[in-house]
Amino acid sequence: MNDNRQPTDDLIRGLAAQAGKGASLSLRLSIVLPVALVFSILAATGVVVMIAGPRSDLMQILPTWTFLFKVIGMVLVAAGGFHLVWTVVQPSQVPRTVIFLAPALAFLLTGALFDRSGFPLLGVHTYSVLNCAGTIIMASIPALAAILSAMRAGTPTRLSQAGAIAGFLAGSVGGLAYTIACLNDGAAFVAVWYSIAIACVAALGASIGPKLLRW
Amino acid sequence: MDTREDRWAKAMRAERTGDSAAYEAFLRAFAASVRRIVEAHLRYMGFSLYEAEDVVQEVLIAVHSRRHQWDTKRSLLPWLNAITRYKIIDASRRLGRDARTRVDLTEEQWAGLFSFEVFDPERNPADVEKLISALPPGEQAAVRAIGLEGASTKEAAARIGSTEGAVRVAFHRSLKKLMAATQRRGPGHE
Repeated sequence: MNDNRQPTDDLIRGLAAQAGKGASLSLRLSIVLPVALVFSILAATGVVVMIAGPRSDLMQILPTWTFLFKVIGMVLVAAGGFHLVWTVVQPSQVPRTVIFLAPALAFLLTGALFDRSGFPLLGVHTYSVLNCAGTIIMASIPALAAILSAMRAGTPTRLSQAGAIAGFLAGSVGGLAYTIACLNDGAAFVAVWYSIAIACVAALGASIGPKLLRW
Repeated sequence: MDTREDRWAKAMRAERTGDSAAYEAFLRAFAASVRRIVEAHLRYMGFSLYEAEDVVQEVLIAVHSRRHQWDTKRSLLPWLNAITRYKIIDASRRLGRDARTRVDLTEEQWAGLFSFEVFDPERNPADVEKLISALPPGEQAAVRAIGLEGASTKEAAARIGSTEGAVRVAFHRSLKKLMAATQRRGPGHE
C-alpha cells in the first residue's frame, strides 16, 4: 500500500484510544447560546440608554399598540434569528430561513400596510432615520460580538451565512432595545428602517464571519 | 437494515461508552471514503494528490474533536458530510493560495517574461530533449511518459514496470530539476 497512509493509520489508532473521553470538555451549545442572547439584550439596552436614553413618556406608551407593535415585531424577528443561529452551528441542519422569518415578516408587513397612524415614513425629526438606524447598529455591535463568540462553541460550516445570521440576530436585538428610545410610532417607519438597520448588521456579520468563525 | 448510516451511527454511539475498537473501525471506514472524495476533488481542481492524506487527517481530527456535538437523535451522514465538505473547501483555498505564491514571479521576472527566446519548448524541442537526457534513466522515463506523451501515472507505471507511487515521485523530482535547470539557463541566454 501507499507509504503516505501510514501517518493516517497512526492517527486513527491515537484517536480511537481516546474513545469515551473528553465529553466534559466541550462547551454545550444549549447553554452558551442562550447566555449570549441574554448578554446581547442587556448590552444592547445599555448602549441604547447611553446613546439615546429611554423616551420620557415611556411609562405611558408601554401599553399602547404602537409600542407593542415594535416590541412584538422585534421579538418575532429575534426569535427567528435565534432559531437560525441554533441551526447554522449544527452541521447536520440546514437553516430554513424563509420559514423561520415568515411570522416576523408577515407581522411587520401587515403593520406597515395598514399603518393609519399618519406618521411620516422618514420620521418626525430631520435626523430620525439616521438616529434610529445608527443607534440600532451601535447597540448591535456588542451583541454581534457575543453571538459570534458563542457560535464558536458549535460547528458552523458555511461561514458567511453563519456570520449573516449572527448579524441578523444581533440587529434584531439592537432593534428590540431601541424600542425604549424610539420616538417614531409609525408602523411603516419601524418596518422599513428597523429592517434596514438589521440588514446592515447582517451584512457586517457576513463580512467578518468567515474570519472569526473559522475552525 | 444495515446501511452505512446505521453502522457508523452505532459505532459513534459505542465510542461514547469507550468502545475503542468500534470507533477505530468506524474511523478506518470513514477515512477510506473521505480519501476517495478528497482525491477526486484534488484531481478535479488540478492539485497534486500529495496533499490528500493531510486533508484526510484534518477531516478525521475535525470529526473526532467535535464528535460529542453530534446529536444522536439526528442522522450522522449529513453531519459528517458537512464537516468533510467544510474541510475540503478550506484545504482547497489554502492549496490555491500556495499555488499562487509558488507561481508568483518577481517584478523582474515578469518584465523578462518574453525574453527567454532560446528556451521556448514549443519552438525548441531539442532544448527540452537536452535537459531531459541529463536526468537519471528512471526519471527520464517518467517525464517522457507523463510530461511529453500525456500518459496517466497508472499507464506510465505499467509501461515502465514500476509502481504508481514511484512514478509519481520520479515525475515530480524530475520536474523540479528541469525547472531549476531552465532557471539556470534562462537568464544566461537573454
